[in-house]
Amino acid sequence: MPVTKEMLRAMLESLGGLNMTDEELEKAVPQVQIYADQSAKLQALDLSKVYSGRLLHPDDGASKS
Amino acid sequence: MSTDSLNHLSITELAPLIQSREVSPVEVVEAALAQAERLQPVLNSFITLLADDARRDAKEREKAIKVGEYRGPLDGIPIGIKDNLATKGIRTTVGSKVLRDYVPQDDAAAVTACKQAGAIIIGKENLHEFAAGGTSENPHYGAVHNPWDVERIPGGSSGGGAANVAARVTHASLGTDLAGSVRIPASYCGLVGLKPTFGRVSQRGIQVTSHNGDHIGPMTRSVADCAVMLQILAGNDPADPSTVPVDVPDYTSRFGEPIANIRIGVPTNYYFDLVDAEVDAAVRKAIASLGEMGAHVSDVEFSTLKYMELVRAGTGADSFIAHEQMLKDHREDYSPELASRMLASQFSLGRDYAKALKVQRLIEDEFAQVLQDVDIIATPTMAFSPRRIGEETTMISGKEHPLRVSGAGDLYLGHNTHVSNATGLPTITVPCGLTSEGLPVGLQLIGRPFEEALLLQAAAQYEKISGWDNASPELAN
Repeated sequence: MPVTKEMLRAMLESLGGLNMTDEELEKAVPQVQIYADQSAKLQALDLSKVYSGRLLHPDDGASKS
Repeated sequence: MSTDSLNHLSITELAPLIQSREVSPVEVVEAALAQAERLQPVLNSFITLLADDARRDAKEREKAIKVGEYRGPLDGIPIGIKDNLATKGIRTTVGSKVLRDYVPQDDAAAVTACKQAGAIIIGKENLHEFAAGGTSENPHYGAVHNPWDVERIPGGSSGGGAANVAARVTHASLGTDLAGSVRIPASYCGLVGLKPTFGRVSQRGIQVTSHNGDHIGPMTRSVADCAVMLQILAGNDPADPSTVPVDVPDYTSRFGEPIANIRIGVPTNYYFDLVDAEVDAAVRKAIASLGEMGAHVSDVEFSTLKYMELVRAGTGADSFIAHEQMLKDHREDYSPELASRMLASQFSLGRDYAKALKVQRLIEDEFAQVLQDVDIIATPTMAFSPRRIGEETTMISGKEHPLRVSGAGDLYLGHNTHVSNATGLPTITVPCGLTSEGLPVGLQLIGRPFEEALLLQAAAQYEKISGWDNASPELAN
């Protein structure tokens, strides 16, 4: 899916992102395109049985002192 | 002993001289400061030089050692601290304009550990802006120069620390490593650099980081010095939930043991994909040497690494959160390049972030599987030798490659190092030769969680036969 400056501007407005100038949006387009392309590569990969890299541990947040 | 000689001694050579009072910490620190003052105009390796504090601390340690209060092998040794690690009462800029006057109220846990071991902090070291890149071409404090060729980058983000250790200014430096920022400069400056297992060393006090995959690690001139540093840094920190209460072994205990029974895996994909011919040859020669010493060398494959790019997208989202408020309040103080990268990261979708975490797990699981069949994975640390300061591309085997892929950061620089941040596995780089242009090449060894002692054993055995022999750049003399 081709990423455009207009698409990013609309996302910022509707999702309350940090404001960006036209020039900043222009520079962001190729990077966001990379993210989108990488994500598309994964569509065929079944991740449903894969655990997340972020796993809770029983002692998370507990005092260890 | 002459000032010059003191600078060239390793920690393990210097420590017995300090302990026996043949050499005073005051002499050692004066030698380090003289070297720092001589080379700062050339290397630009410090943001803040702490000459007065260092002299005061050296006198205190001299006095204490005289009355028998010797604290161990780091006592009286001059070290440097990357300027993204909090130092109480000393400005900590993180290489940024935003935090140019920021003075922390507490030391980072690792800084406290070094101070308690008696180390003398010579200065806060220059780095890539916000530690967010691999070149150390800092737009606010100037580029750090590589002591092996001052026209070239030292790597980054811990570039100032690596330049100082290589140029015999300091004897060790504390760096941080979120995608290779200890190992990249260590490799480019001909040093040993260690990224410990995630959870082995407290991250408390690293400034402006996601804490997701960041690590504190030492850069030293020898494997033995690296073990000394890790011994002091390793351990559980009740105030850092990422640390793990695993016993800290004696990291030098296996140094003398042969590596005959160690199984070494050499990846057939990913790690050698972008490697320059000279680097490839040096690393394969090093691996062959390990084989000649009796290690069992075999091929291994990592099919999941083709998804590594998506993990980088997740890292970008983590970084954005660390910068969000500052980007709102002080965007004009960011370099346009970094602001652009960070701002673009806010477009990572929650769906993709969740997928990135699952991909990270896939990669972790594959490494865990491979590391049942081999004990250590050997790769090049860097795919190519350090480029010239200001260059945007690099030649790899006669083909030109961009160093910065639009907004995605120093993708090529961290290609071989970032994987170990995603897996959390302990990883060390050790010098394995020089290119025809006289630039250092590093061998990267990756091990199982909390098996730093095995990595240090293999690295120490390799170091003995590598022919590196504590080589130093000409300008250090």
